[in-house]
Amino acid sequence: MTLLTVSDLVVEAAGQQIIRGLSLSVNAGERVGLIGESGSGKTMAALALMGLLPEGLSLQGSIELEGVELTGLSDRRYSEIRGDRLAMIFQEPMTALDPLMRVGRQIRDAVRLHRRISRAEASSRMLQLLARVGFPNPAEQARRFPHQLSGGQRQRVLIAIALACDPALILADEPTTALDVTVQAQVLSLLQRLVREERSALLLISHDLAVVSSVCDRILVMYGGTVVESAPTREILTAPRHPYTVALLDTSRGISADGETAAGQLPTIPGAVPAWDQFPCGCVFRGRCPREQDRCREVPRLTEGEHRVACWFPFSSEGGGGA
Amino acid sequence: MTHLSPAEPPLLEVLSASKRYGSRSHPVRALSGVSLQLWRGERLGVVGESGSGKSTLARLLVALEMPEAGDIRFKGKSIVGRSRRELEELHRSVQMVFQDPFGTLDPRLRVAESVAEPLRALKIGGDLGRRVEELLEAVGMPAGSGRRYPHQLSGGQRQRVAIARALAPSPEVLIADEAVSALDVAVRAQVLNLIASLVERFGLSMLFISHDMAVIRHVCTRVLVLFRGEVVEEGPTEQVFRQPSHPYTAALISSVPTLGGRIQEPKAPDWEGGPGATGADQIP
Repeated sequence: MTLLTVSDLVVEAAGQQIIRGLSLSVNAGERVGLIGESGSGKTMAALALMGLLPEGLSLQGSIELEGVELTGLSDRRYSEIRGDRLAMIFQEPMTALDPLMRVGRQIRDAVRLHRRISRAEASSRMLQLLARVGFPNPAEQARRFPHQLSGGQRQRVLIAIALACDPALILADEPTTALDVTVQAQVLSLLQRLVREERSALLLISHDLAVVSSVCDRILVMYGGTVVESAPTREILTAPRHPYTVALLDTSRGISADGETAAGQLPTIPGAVPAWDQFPCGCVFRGRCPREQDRCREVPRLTEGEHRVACWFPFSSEGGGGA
Repeated sequence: MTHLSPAEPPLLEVLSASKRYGSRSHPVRALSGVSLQLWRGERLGVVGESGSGKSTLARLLVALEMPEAGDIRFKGKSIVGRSRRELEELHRSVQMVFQDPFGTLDPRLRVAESVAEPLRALKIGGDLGRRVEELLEAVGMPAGSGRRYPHQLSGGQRQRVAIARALAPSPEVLIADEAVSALDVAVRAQVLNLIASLVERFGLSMLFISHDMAVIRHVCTRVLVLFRGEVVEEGPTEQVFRQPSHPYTAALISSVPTLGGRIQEPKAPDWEGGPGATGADQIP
């Protein structure tokens, strides 16, 4: 069952497109990864989904969650859905948490914002949530302030807040990027287990292909404000079709903790990601692509089916990538 | 061992160094009894997470801080208790690149001025303009980028400029403290390639500090693992990777996510503590 459908989403600033016709869907209970480098528009896409676009940006297209069209909703109606059916976990928990409020109260408030229950009921739910995200002594943790917690503990509190109302979809934007590696592994493992147990869907946004491919069933590759490829994780890894995906995989494989690590020069992607208002017309990967031809001046559409690609000259579907 | 002449002392040496911060009643131990040698021509990795003491170690090596106990030596001579003037050679020969180039580059200065600054500060003469151009070219900056300001550059370009600035006084040692940690994977690969080629070209010795075992493995020949202010393991990188002898090293390696792998949760959850529990914050 499709939970979230985004169609032809366009976000514009001063007449320039930042998001260029983004389309994606997430099924109930599915874990989908949205991968992109800085400047790919992935965070802007997350803000658009949450109805939190900065002032001055215009939005076109459609965002449908559980059959409800979210674009054009009033702020009030949007905030009823946000935190309830659609929850978000940010990269920097320190800015998402109120530094002056004990964490227990922040979780309890999140519960009561969307549920008409007594304070006592909300408190017991809060303690339950703290235990679920791995605090061995919830009552004690509830009394602490955010600054008294480590980065990993703060991220666990944010996960508790996200889970507070059994959301259908959790949007996590670089939830572990600021954490140490051992803590990252703990938090990712927790997040993965909880979304499975709660039967929530997860949209995990990250620049780290290894993180996304370890957690998600399906991967969307974003570049230049649009999805250039979408496929089940295993297919993205073994038979990538878009030249950008192929290059991103090559450069990601250059440095790895498992298997043989490349000695000498690492594979790179030629050039750099352009500034948001400097992308070429036609295919956004033009200028950096080894397979570019004249036809690439036209915008390629994302194909249909399970493995989708937006490219005029994609690698063959029989694992021709990496060539 | 990769040092070329065994008769020569290590370029940089730390001998049982300890460092505390905080007040007398609430001391915070950052390093306790750490020793290391960086030999000429070597690429030594220091791996550790928040609170491991890795940044304190870097600050000791460039004499930004002094240890309470132990000794720091540059080319066999102690740098502890020396005057600024006596440390001139150290300040010229040992240069650092940090994680955040915004912290290194003055936002009000044009790129060329930022790169020339250490040359002026260290009173290194010659044709400054030409030297700056050479340096910017060496780090792969496009012609004319010297006239730009830091905010006009991408993250990768800013780190290139920070590297050019570090290379300006023709150092012998480069200390990279999480130098590529803030960069996306594709840009990170470009900057790592650049660092590798510069190390080769200028015959630099390098101390590469990172939390990322995978990057350390690519860059370094030897690695030292710091945990809560102590060295828990040391050895040739490949050997440490294949047969980590300390459980913390094993956790560090298995925690790095791999393409299509599974998230492996480290077994000892008490590695993640709040303030008051991490190594840097409390005497155990």
